[in-house]
Amino acid sequence: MIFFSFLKHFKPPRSLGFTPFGAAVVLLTVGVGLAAMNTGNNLVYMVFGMMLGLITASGILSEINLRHLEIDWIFPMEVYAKKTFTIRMLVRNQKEKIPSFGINTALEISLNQKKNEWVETNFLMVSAKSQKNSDIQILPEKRGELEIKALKIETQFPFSFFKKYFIRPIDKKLIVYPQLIQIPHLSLKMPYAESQTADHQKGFGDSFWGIKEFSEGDNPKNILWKSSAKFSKLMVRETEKEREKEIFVTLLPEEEWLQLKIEELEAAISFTASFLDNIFKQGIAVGLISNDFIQKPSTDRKNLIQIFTFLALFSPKKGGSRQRAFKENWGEPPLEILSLWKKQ
Amino acid sequence: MEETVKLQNITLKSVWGLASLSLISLLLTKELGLLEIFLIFIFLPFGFYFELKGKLFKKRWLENSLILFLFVLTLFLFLGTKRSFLIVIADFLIGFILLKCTFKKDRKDIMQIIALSFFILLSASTLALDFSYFLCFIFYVLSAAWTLTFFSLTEKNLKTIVFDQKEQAKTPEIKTLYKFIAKNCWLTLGLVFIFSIAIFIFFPRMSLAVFQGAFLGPVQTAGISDKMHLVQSGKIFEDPAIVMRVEIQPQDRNRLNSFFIRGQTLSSFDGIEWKAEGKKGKSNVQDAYMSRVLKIQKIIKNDFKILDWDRDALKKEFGLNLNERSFLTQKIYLESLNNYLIFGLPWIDFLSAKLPEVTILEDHAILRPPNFGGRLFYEARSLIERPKETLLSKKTVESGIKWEDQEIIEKNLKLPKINLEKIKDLAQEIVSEKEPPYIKAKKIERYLSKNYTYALNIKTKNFSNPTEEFLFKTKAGHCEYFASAMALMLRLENIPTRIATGFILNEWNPSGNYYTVRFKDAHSWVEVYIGGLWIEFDPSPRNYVPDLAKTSLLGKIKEKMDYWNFLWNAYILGYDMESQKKLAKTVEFKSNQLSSKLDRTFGNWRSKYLKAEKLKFMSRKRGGLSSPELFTRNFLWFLAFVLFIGVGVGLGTIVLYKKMKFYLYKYKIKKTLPNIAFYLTMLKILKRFGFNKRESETPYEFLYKLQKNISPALLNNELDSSLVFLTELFYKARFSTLITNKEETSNIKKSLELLRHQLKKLKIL
Repeated sequence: MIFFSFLKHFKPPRSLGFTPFGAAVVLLTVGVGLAAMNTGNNLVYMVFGMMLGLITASGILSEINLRHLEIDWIFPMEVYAKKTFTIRMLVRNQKEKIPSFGINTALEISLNQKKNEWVETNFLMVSAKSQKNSDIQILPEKRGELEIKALKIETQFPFSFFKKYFIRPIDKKLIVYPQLIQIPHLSLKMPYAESQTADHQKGFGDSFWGIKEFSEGDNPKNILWKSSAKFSKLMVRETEKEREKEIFVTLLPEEEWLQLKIEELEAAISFTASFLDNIFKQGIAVGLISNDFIQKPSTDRKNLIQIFTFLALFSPKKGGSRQRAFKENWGEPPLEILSLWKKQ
Repeated sequence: MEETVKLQNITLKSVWGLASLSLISLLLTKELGLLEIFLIFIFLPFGFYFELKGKLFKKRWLENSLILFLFVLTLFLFLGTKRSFLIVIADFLIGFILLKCTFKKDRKDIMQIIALSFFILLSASTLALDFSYFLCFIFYVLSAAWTLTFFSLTEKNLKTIVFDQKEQAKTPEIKTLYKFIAKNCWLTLGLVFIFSIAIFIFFPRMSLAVFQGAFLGPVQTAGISDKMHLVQSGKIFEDPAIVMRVEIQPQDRNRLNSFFIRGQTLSSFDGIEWKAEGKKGKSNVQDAYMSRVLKIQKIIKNDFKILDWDRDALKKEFGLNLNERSFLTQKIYLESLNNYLIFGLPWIDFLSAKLPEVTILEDHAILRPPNFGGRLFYEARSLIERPKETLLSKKTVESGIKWEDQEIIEKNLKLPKINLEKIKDLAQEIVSEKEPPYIKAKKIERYLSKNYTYALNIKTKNFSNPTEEFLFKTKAGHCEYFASAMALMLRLENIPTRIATGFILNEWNPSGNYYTVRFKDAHSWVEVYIGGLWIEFDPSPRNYVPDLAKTSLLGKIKEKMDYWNFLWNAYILGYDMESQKKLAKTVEFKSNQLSSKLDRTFGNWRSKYLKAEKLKFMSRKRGGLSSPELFTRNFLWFLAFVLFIGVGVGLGTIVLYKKMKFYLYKYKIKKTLPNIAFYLTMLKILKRFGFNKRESETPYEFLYKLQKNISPALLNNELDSSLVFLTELFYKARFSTLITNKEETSNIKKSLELLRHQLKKLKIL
């Protein structure tokens, strides 16, 4: 055990593979060695030495090339189907004086647990004590889960005899949101686009609600100095709570979605996402409900992203009693997006 | 994009450079014909010019057809003509690479040109004879490293390589790239040197010679054949190419009394041409030649006895008391020739060469076996002591020692069937009938050398009897005329005489203590049979070339260059298994010397301090070993122990250094970057509670993972906000601003405390 742990210090954590050119060179070297032994020609021995020297130099230089490299990457915040996105790879060369050449970084990706694929980008030269970045462009074909499984750093420098590389696992999953498409302007009737109830409440907002006496915790900014002078005590302004315009979309009943063909399902989901995105951009709060998911209407982008995440992984199921529960809680029926898509 | 264009251009130019260098290495072997040289000088510069102008085109079918045609032509040349296999292959490679260069190239073509250039270098290594190959080799290594590097760098960026004239001025980055790649090339050259030297010295010289006999033929033409045509000869005397180098120790040089390098003798003369007809030979086989299909043979150095001297007879008849000083050993480095003669000072009696067998002809000419016409190094020992003139002049043809058969004597007395009356009259004028053979020969030799002049450009009119024309009309000629005239006159006087052909030692190189023998040094003289011995006479009044180095600066340079070539030949081309053994023995001897020196040193030390209790065990006699032997054995064990400990300590230091480097790095981070110490503390806290950050994770990814892994119910706002706060602050501190703000510092402390507290709570839950 001690022996193996001792040996570990001398074994670099890298893998080595031949390129076709390198394999030919190694075979040729063996051939030249045999020819030298056969002929006894000393100049052929020199050529044999040259080839061995080149192979060794290749090993040493590629080892130096890969040492003290730091790799970092930046994933995009949002990824949509059929829209190219960029992963930025950063290579930092921590060596004191020696640059690194011909660095190839690759990511192993798999969309919806299907075939693994390597996507790569190259760095011609990363100078000593500096960093360089290069982008990998990926076009996801479908919505779903894009798994980034591993990172590979490879170099064929200096002579393309060998591929020296190491692979590090990355457990990263990107959600590919449904494709956003152009949809025609929709004139939606209230109550879908407006507040359904007319109840006014005091709270945060700009509209005036009333005046009250200052108490601890009130914002000093709201002190009305004229009224305070009038009442001889600190008076503060109260505001009416802002109510948002909102739209609530439902995927229920999901049985109807089940009847759609795959292409239709994808198109409907894409329409839903695009519709919600459009509405959201108009400043209207959006929400979504389905059997497994509920997102109350909100103008917060985080909520929209949560809806997109749900839509990215959405696959309709039978059953569910959400619709009734919804009616009990909120009263008004939400917008059935599937009917709207069918009309469109 | 600009970088890509630059890389593309530099790759293309480099590959042209590599191809040119390999072709130059082949040109410098001086084995190529005029056509090949012409093609290289036409195709290379014009092809490169058109490449720069972007005017080369790509027609794959045409290219492939031409290559196929070239292949068929090569096959025909090899099978249909008697050209050397090596030359045929070299020609094919030249044609191939020139074709590849003159068409538009893609990456595949570039790779093929690189491979072809390598094969051309390999081909040059089989043909090269001098030091110039070494220079080409160095430049080739540098150029190959450079080209392969750029070829590798363009691998991912370029699929087709076309010269682009839009190249801009060099950017600083490209300059750095060039600089470091150049450094790498030098490093590669260094490694190549180390490997080449190691392989050269230690790799076993098996010399199996599989296929060698079947394919490799002689390369250079010697100009020395079994015939000597008086009218047609002459051109050889103007050729400066080197035939051999004869190494003689300077102290032995003074003992040289004749400067002939003998090849063979010619006995049969028809009036115009001397021939070496009907010579009988005797084979001396040392190493049976295995004549199998593959002709496998291990070539080792063998010793051959050529002549067995009758020492008693020589002493009795000629007063020759043979001892070590009577003989002279020459080391001869013979170049590749188209005949199989072994050359050396006359009267070779012993030969040592890497040959399986030799054939000794009746005139004591020595022949190599067929297929051994290549370069050869051998040592020949010749008897250089000659009988004194006083004794020789007393001898008749047949008195003295009986050595030759009557048949041979008669062969060397035979006269051509032409009118020899005038020549006979002249011979009788020079010598009197009663004089002994030696005096007659001396008189004729002196007469010819004094009354006739040496000339190369002779216009012969009388083609039926050129000797007569030389003696009575032109009175000028080259060595063959002189030798022929003397031989004829002596035969007319009934003295057995023959023509000897070979070279003359003319050009001494003091730097290397050797004679350079060139084709222009070809010479012929006569051998006269007196008293049972064939004595040499040289009637040619040839001017001997003075030492070049003494005459001019150019001469000195030439001499030095030739010396380098000689060293190359002797120590690089001539390095073989014997040399390896010799080297190993030298190393063993030197190490023994060193060991005994150390022994002596430690012996003194031992005698001084052995009385000490600790070392007493060394002096005890154990297992029949005496005290000094025991000490030597113990000392060797001690050395081995020290070596073992040394290696162990060395390896331990490396490991320790690596470990220390790691800890120092960590310490350095803590010391120099106090800014991020809080993040490391955060990681430590999280690790304690089972949230470990992977090396491959970025801080943001780790944060995301934490947010995901801690269930939303437990991930309260306080915990979440502290995690987010510390992570964001890490990015700020690590890559940009220093944390100097007191408020931030206290917030960090609070957040860390909060984190610890919340995680404890989480654990309880």
